[in-house]
Amino acid sequence: MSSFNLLIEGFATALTLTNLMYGLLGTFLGTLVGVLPGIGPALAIALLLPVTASIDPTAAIIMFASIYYGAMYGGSTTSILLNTPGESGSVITALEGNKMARSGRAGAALATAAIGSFVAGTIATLLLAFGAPALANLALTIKPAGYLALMILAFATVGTLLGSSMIRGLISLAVGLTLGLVGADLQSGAIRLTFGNPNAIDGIETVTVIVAIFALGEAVYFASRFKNENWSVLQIKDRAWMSKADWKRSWRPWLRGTAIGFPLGVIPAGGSEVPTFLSYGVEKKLSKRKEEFGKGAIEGVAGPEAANNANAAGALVPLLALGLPTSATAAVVLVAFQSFQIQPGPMLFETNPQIVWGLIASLFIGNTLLLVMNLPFIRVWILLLKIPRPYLYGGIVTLALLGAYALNSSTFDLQVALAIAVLGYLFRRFGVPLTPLIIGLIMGPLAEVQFKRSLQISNGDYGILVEGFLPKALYTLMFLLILLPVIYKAINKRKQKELAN
Amino acid sequence: MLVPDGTSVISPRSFSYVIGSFLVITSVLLISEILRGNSGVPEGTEAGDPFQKADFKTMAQVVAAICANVILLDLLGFIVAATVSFWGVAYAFGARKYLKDLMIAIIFSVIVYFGFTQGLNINLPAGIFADLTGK
Repeated sequence: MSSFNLLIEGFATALTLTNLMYGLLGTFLGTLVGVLPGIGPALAIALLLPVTASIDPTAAIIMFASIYYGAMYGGSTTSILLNTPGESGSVITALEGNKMARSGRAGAALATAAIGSFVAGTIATLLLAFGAPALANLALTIKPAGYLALMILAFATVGTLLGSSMIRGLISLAVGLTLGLVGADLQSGAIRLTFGNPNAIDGIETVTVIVAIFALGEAVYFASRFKNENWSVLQIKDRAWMSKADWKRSWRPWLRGTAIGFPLGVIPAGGSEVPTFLSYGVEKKLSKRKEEFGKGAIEGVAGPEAANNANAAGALVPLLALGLPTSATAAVVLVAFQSFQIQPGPMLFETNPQIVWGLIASLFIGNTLLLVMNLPFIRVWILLLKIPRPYLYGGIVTLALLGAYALNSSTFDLQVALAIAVLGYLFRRFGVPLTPLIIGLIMGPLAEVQFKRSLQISNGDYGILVEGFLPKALYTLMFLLILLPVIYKAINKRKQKELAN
Repeated sequence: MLVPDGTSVISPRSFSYVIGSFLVITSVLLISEILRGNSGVPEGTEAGDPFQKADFKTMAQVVAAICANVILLDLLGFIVAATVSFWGVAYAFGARKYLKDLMIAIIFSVIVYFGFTQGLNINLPAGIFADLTGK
């Protein structure tokens, strides 16, 4: 059957009354949690994971798709209306959008963000619908060693692209990989790194780590640094809609943002930081009103916001087709899949077509629902920003602890959460990025499976790891990616020295 | 590490050694980077640029509230533990209308408790309210 027919069938799955209700609930909850300051999309999904525990897999996956897009939408509202930037993907939106809101154009900023997200989301989901199955087909021919190389490349890019220094990204990755080792080895049953604690044999629960590091770590860090500073919510003075001139200035940035965001989501570029910055740079360069940038140029909201959403959809391509998450949020979606014993990857399209296509169809539906739900009711969502900060953090911490506990009803998980919260504080305090840790924790065990498969095929000969074109090409690419910036820096330093002399 | 005999050609040790070496190497590199003076910049959050000086008192209060939740959950049940952690964190973040704060904490905990146990069939320790909640 062609992708098109399968997609139509996916719509049939997603549009049954129950599934539609779950989709609606997902967009609602996703936006709700996403709007709350201090909760990014990754944390939103992790917090809502227990909510889906008792519903059937197809409905749950559809709900997660809606939560995924909903949390993205919610985040942009927050960053436009709060006085300072939020999570990495919204930093740029905040930069220009906030300036617009200050000069009384909050409505236009919110509108271009929402409609831009819709346009980018729809185009990118369409690309996803046809790109992911093609990639999955291709991926069926990839050998374990090739998979391992792909994962190591993803580790390398996620580890080195984020954060203030390359080494800090890599240490975060190393800690994540080590946490992933804890517990019984899947193939041999060997017990690793439990230090005699029987509770640790099942391994460290990923959801526990995610909620602890994002919610508890953030709360602790926040308490140590920001107590007396108050955030002010900017008022929407105009209508949440755009003038003709705004439309004219927005549609090209939307399309360009989509073109930048989608491919950078497919390759492991470590989330939406890079594409949103790139899109902003492009818009600034192409604009005839350069002087407006930094003072509230609508292009500077439209482009990056579209890039952010297209990036989110792009990240689903490797996630569905290869089982590789390229951002923290995608990694959490992978955990959500795994909690239903569904392993994304090339086989998924064969074994669970109704789930994959139901998911893709519900992305379209969720995207449309969001546009309908967001703009007209924006003033209702904004009320959430007015929750007093003490209650907001009281609620976030308590719900995070509940999320850490509820999955296994285990006090041990809570103790792990406490330890990870301290780690999350230290990471934030010393500028260590969090995403590599999450990626390492979730992907480490998957990488080990491929590592062992390769070596079993070759009977223990390590040569197999670099055998064939794909591994060789990927490792070469990786070394270039790591070494080029270092060489570039060294040359620059030399030049400066020469100039100084 | 306990390794069962003859399970596979590939020892579960090999991958662990790779990760272990990676951790050690990156640690050494990080230490050398710190010694060279790059000790890391505190991250900003949705509230903006961080203060220069850490407020360890508030931080300790939040950590204490989290610890209280962990300890109380098994002893007294979810509703008490959640009330204490909600109220404790709110206090740390500057809430000082004690009675109102406590009421909100209790209402929040009760709603979450019944929402999860009745609505979503997720087990939470009933603790001292075991008789009332019928568990």
